[in-house]
Amino acid sequence: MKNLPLLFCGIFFCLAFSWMGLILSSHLQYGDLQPMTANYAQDDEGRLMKGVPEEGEPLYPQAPVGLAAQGKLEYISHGCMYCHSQQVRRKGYGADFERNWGNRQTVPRDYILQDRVLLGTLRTGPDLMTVGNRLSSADWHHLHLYNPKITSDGKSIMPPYAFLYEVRKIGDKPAPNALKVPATFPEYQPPAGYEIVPTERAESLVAYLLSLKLDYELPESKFSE
Amino acid sequence: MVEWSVSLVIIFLLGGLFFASAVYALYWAASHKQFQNFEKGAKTIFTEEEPLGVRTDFFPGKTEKGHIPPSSYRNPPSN
Amino acid sequence: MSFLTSFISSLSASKFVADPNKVPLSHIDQSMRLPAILFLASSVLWLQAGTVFALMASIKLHTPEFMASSEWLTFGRMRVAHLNAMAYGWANNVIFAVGLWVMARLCRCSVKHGGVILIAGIFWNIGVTIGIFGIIKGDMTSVEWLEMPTYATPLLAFAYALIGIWGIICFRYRQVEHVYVSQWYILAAIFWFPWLYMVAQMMILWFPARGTVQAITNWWFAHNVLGLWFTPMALAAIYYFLPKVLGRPIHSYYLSVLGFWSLALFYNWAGVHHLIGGPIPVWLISAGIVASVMMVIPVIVTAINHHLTAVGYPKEVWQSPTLRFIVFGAMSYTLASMFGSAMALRSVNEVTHFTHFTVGHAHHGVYAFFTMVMFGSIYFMMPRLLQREWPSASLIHIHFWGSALGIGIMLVGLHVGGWLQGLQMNDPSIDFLDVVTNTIPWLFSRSVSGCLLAIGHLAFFVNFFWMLLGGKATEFKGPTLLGDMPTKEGMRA
Repeated sequence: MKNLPLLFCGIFFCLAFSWMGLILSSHLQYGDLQPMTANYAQDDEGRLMKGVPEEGEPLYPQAPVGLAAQGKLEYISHGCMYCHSQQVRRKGYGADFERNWGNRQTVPRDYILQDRVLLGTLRTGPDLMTVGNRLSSADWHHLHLYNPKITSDGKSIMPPYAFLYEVRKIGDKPAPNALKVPATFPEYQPPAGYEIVPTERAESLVAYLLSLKLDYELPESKFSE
Repeated sequence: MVEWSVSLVIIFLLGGLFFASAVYALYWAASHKQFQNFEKGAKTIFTEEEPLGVRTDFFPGKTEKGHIPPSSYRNPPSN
Repeated sequence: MSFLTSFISSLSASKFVADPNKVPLSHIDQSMRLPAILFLASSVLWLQAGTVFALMASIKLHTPEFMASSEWLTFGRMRVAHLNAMAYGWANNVIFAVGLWVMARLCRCSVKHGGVILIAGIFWNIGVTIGIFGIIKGDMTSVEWLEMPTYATPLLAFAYALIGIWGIICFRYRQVEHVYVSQWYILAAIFWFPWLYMVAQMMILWFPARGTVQAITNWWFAHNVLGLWFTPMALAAIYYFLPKVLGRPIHSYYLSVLGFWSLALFYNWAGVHHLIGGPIPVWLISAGIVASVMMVIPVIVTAINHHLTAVGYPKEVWQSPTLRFIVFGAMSYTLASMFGSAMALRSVNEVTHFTHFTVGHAHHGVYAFFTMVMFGSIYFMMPRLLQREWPSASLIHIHFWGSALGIGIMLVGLHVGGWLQGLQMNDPSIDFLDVVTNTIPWLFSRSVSGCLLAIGHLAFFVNFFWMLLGGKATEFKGPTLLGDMPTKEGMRA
């Protein structure tokens, strides 16, 4: 154990070996993963052609664009990932299906168009992979972000993001997107004559959350019954 | 996803190569006497100032009676 | 380039005394003094900052209205600032100090060009400060363990390059033929960390890989920071300080070779256990689980070695501040690793994944093992760097008990709370919000433990800076660790 070059080689190879085995191999394996239709195309004999999309069917996944893409930057900046995951485990492993967090397992192909993958490792809050499917109201999301206790009977421990909202005097008429805080939460109501309006940042974040849907199938992952 | 089994085979071949070279390195080290008198290596941390058999750490104010500090600390360098 | 060659040649063997064993340890300690003190002082300051961030994050999790109006203080940012301040501020600074000091001592290199490491240390800390500030103001990347914005990275890379090269050159021009086990670990870690960091930066942030290959790279990186950087450095410290303080050699030197190589081989592959059940190829997950379980081998081997070195000497362990912390850390290493191997099994992981159990486990390794070992190392190093005794034994006691009790309560609270959380999450008849409210008492216990830790850290902070800046430290009657030391002007740090 005195020989520096030999020691160095051993140390180097241990790391290189794991890098090749874990990362290089998956990189190669993913190499030809492309957005795909729900089923592969069939050839003339009716056999499935792996890797070939069906004619005329939409390809999935689709990259988030526009306001939703901007909202993802907000999500990243606030560290939402540290309480919310974005992956659905297979049926029978955990209770992801039973909790309505998804009706199929998420697979590598679901993430190939994301520039930053935010799988998450803690579920202080629920998984968000399909939050756009199960909570499709922008109003709900705005109330929730403004103060999570409003939408959770006061039980949530999620931080309030009131700084993403503006409390301002009502103009000629109330803004169409002003928050409607239920009367059961008097402490969060705006003062009389004032309204709570989402800023651009809040609108983009909610657009991102609403874009998180798993409403398509892939050849390797089908909706469960 | 067709190529993955090929890359797996390559990885396993490389792994086998790695394992074989590790075994060879061990054999080389043994035959070049790297492991002779190996246990004496455990004693290299002891020096004249902090020799084998002498405890070198106590709570402040609780240094054991009869503890002789290392000579080089009693006569510190002048720089 | 010529600076580099003169730097390298200045460390050549001919410049040293004829008999390498005659280079006194005190000379080495004195020559390392300035860089080591810089790193240690920085690490103690980052420890305090990291503890503040931690308390903020912990309190906000059970009392979300706490200081909630400020965007910069939201939970997401505080939690991330905490992790990065502790990992890159506290941990890396103390690793640089301890690793380089132990390396210098074992190589019997009287340090030349210590100014190089000094510059490196300043740049490193500037880089971390910029990074943490960036996180708090909203530029974090949301890539775990790599959250610092990319504008901080070049400073860190530059600083590290200087430190790493210095360490390797010190080793290359060592005066002693034999290479001690601590040196293997330090060398290996010095090599592994920059490679891990740069590959991860490249493949996730600069030229992002496709889809979940990012996640695989992320967890290969993050877990290896724990296993191939923090762990080897802490093991190097235990292998050096445990026998040194006791005055007895390590029990079995052969076992230490086995421990080293099995760690190097298996730890690398274990990282994917963070993604069990996730959208990555199943065979990768299986490989990660196998490696995680195989880790039992190096852990048991190391545990046997350490235990048989210290067994029969409980009084000596208890009476040495260094060993109290180090032995606590060594025992925690074994326990945390056993938990880790268990958590990698699919059936256990089904419950613990995504819960506070994982957070508890992380603190088990990083605090109960790594941090406690580093505290012990600092307690040994400082008297020899400054040639004074620690000013206050009471503060050492407060530090030890604050840390030990604090981490003990945290581990119980998060492990039990996390396990219950996992079981409840897997029971769909329990409403999710009820699962959340059930964790609150356990999260509160974590804040309580955080206060205990904060008290311990504060005691350490006071003792450390009192020793550093206090001139002539408290007089003790009777023998002292290093003999009667008259203070001279030139001796102040």
